[in-house]
Amino acid sequence: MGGLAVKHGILGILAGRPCHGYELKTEFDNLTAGLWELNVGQIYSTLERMVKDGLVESYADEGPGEDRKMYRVTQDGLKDLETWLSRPPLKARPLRDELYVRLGLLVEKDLAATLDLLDSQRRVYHLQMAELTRQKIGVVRAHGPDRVRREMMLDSALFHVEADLKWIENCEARLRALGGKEE
Amino acid sequence: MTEEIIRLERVVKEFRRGDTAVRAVDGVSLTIGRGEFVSIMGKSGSGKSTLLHLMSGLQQATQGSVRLLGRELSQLKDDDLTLLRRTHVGFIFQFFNLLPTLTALENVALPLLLAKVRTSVAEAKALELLKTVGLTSRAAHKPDELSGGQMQRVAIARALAGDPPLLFADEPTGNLDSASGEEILLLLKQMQIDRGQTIVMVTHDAKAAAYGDRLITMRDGRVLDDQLTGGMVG
Repeated sequence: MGGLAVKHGILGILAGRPCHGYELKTEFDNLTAGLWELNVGQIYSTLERMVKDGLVESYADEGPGEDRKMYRVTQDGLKDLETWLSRPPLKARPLRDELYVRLGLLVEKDLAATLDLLDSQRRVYHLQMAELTRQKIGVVRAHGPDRVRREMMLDSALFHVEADLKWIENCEARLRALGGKEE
Repeated sequence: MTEEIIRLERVVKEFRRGDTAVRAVDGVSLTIGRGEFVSIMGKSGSGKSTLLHLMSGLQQATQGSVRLLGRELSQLKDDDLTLLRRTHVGFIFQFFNLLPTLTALENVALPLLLAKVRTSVAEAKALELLKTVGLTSRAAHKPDELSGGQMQRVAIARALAGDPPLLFADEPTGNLDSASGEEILLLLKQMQIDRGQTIVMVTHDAKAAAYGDRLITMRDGRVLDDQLTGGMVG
């Protein structure tokens, strides 16, 4: 699933212009406003596979320097990208979180420990929210041409963290009602 | 910490409810320094608004010490407290609290006129502040001709009219849609970044609170958490 998005993200970037492998990392990170960071290894292994499948081809850059291998998209690659972009909507993301397992193990056994867990998790979410908000303020103040895209990505992250926080509050209220005053 | 603007020591605020005393604020100690943007979060009834009222001298503590800009509030006479508030503290409220018969410009100029500033000077300053909040073109409009977001921007300009070192905001986005709310928060953030404005904001909204760089979480009248959430934004 993630692999397909990486592959087509790279195809899409190459459809804009030919790139060096290392440029693709920056461009891909940029595409999702940093929400989905790739490592260089992933880029090269994906490129290798796509060259083999005939979706991308490599050629030597004219400029100076050592490894000046450039990549460009082929006609087959473009067709593949188009098909992928017009596919039906994605399935809802999996609702899976390590926190559920921890909470599941604790909640009926140790109320105080459960509340501690929720408390510390709440702090983490607030920090994450502040960091995302800082990024958003930076984007708005920079007035760049990519402002809309970046704001959309950051809003998505912010709404998710907000939902996590609301859920934590809801859990706390539930447990405190159960266990009386807890401090 | 930089210069201290607010210092609370073991502050208690009790309200009578029939025969029993209810502690809205129950032993809070904290300090706030110049240039900080502090968010205070908590559910309704957590004591967050009472805490803001105590800090700003709108209410008196039952016990403990509240120092605002180095002055012990409980030792100030009413007149001195009013003067301290008028000259050193700006307020922004959920429902804007603009005077409906005055234009945006007059609303912003009003605190200056009350402080006996000359009309021409007050209006020039008000115009400059309306420019800062992006409302130059609405200077002659009355509140009912403005959107909620615009009214709150006028309220921010008014709060800043006397160049107060400290700005209190009580649920400033509580009555706005999310887009206007974000504009207001961004404006407050800009005041902090560009002017070094100290801001204390009460909110129940985590997304609003995230604009601050320190988050105080209240529960049952106490500080449950006091966490630094950020560095400076460039």
